[in-house]
Amino acid sequence: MNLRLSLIALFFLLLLIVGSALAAITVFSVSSPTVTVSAPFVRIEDAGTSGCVTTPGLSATRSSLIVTSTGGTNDYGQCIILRNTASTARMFKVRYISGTNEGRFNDVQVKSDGGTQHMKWSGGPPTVTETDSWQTIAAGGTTSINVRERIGGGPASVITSEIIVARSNLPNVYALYPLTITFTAT
Amino acid sequence: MNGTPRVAVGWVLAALILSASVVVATRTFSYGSSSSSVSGTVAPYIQFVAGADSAASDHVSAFAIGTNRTTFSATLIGFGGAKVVVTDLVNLSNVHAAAHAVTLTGTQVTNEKITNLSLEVFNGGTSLGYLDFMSAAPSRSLGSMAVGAVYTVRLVWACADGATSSDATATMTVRMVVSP
Repeated sequence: MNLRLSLIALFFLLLLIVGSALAAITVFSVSSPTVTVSAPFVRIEDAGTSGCVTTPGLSATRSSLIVTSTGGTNDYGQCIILRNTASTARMFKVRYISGTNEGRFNDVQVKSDGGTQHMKWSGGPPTVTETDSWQTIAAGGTTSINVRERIGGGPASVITSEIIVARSNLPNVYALYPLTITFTAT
Repeated sequence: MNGTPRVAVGWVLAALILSASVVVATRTFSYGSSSSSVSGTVAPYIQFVAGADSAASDHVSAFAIGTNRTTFSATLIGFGGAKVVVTDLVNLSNVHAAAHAVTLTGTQVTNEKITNLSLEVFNGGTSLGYLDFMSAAPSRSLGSMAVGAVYTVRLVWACADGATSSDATATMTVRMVVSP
């Protein structure tokens, strides 16, 4: 009888040891998504317009735009060309991030077939920080970012912004192209 | 002689109590592609569900959920010099009848061409924080996930200007740990 009870006790002790060992084994969930790079569907190009110089980066997604002010009101017209190299339409917006204009009034227009949208500055952060509707670039087509300046001649100002590019039916999946606009006085 | 059976019975009771204690104290469940022994007896409490933006698009390809719904895979496509945002890549769903604490961890991505890589988890419109793959030990506790709760995971990643598929491709490692 005593032997039987002792064996039962031994069984549970072994069960305890084995259970503890199993509990110490941790099997993690491992998800392994990959990230990779492809050529951009929409490319930034220099429009070659007098008074503004666009310098696309190596990847044609990053761009620096320098506008040289002569004072007064200047409509420089097309400074940046956006070229859609894909076989389906894309759409874009321009969004302000940071920067002020030190008393100047700068107006960056975004023009396309869909109309004209503005980002407006008046001596401080812009009053309109994002073009309020998506502008479409047809498959294989181009559109432009135009720059207009009013009451120039103040100190240089740098505006950091970005161009948002998405597929027409997927506005929640998008790429952000950095765009720096520098206004300098002659 | 009379005391010996009492000692043996005591051993049995002690062993039973200790066994029960270990079972209760170590109820931490981790799911994985190799955890078939667990999923065979316990349905996964926290499961991955495809997000609204996981379908094939400019920046998401070959998205798939693992058989036991505790893993996901995808190829996420970006552009050199740009940042990519996928707002609703994947969801976390608590399908169990109890709340569970959830923690996501990962391994650091050290590719110098990749300048930003993170997964941000949202409970509705409230951010629960980032799993930042640029940090040395990516980890994000999501707290206790309520019964029926669904969290949205947003991808943000960026790479240096001039980056290409030959020098800016990386694999994220996302681990999920679920506790009582």
